[in-house]
Amino acid sequence: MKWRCFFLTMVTVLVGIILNLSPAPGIIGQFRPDVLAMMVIFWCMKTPGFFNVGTSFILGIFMDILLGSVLGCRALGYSIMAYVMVRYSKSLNDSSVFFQSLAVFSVAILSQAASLWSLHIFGGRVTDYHVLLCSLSAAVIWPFFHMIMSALIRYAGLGRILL
Amino acid sequence: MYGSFSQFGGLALSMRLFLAAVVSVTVMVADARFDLFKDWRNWFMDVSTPFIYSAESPSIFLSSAANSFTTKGAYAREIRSLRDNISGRDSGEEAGSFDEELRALKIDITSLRSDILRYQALKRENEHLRALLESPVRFDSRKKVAEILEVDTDPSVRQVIINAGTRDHVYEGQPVVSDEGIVGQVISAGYTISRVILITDSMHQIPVTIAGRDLRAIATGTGGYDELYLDNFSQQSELSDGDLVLTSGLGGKFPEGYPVGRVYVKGGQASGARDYMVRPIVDFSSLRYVLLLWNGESGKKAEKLTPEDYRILGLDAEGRPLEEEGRKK
Repeated sequence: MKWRCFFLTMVTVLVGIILNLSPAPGIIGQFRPDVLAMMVIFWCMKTPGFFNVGTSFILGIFMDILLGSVLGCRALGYSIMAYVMVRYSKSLNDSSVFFQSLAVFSVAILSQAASLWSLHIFGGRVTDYHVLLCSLSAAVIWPFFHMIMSALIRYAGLGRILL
Repeated sequence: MYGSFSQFGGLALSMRLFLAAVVSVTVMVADARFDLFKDWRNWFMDVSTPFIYSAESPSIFLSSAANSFTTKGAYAREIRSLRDNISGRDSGEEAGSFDEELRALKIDITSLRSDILRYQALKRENEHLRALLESPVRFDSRKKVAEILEVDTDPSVRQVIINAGTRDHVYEGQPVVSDEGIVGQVISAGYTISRVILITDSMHQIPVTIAGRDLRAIATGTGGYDELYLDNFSQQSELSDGDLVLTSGLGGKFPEGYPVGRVYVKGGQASGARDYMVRPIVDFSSLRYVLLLWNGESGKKAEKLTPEDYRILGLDAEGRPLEEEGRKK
């Protein structure tokens, strides 16, 4: 069972990475949510003992390598995100999907702010309002995202444990 | 609720966050301030290769699906834009029928070939005259066309990824140009792909000169899409809008005389000092193909070159130019 969960996590994370890397046409690029961050949020909420700060940190570093930004800026953002989600995972799991959306929005903003603040210190040019839009769109698609992920978990036969 | 997934033993949650924060800040300082991961960059590129290719494949699939619906009229327009590209001007005319445009393209190519013949004769003559004057002969550099891969990069950096790597003897610091002007330089080279930093990135500087003037300056990227600062030149010299900015070749990284952009003046004279900016000639948003350059100098320095590579570069086994030797005899 543990292995099946591990496998499912890795596959979804891989999909998140590839979606983050593929180019978004035109205006959609400005609204595009960080899919990997949403995966991190989801798995930290569902399996806090397994998907934790360390995993998120490693994924952040890896995303920094892939996107060519200053190493560690996303790692910091993802770690903070994972901390908040794991900390409040119990109450968030019991609350409604719409309340979860709110939580996703605030956590996404928090992590983006940490990443951008560190980027700003090290001389990158920060694209301003972009950040807010991405967090907002992450919150908007969260209910659908949650639905798809839950369906995947049930399909993998992990529904009784995780949902 | 979590079944067997109980909290792992060991560190408390806040301790983990503290550790992650300390490590990431340390890594950031090491990377941005001290550049400690310099030797790892090429390896990073190799690690990311499969991800980058798999992220690119959906867009390839989509564009090839779109191509199968292309009509002859669309091809005619494509040929027209190619012809405009060759002649270097925008005629603004409507494209004719496909057959007409194809015939016109063939005619253009023929006239271009005759121009090339004349150009080669002039080049030989120029080399001969330079040899008589005993000034160093400028050698043609080896070129290779590479394609820009359609993957996202961080919005805070101006970088692109190209489909050429150490397999094609791409090296770190190699100049990258397009058919219009300077694009940037390679910052890390994997086996099949490499990362190119554009001249507009805020970390990039390029030594330049103003065409027709004895003036040296440095163009620094702003981090935007279409602006560079022009620094480090005497403020007495008045520049005007539209002055052409070329690479000066100082520092030896970029070849001399490639167009960078055009000067434009930002802000009024109220502030006293005027800000000179450069608008790059290359349109980075529509860039698809780039040229990698190997010049004689870097060919000498490049490691792991086989005798065959030296022959292509026009150098002998020790990296000296062949033709010069022949002339001495």
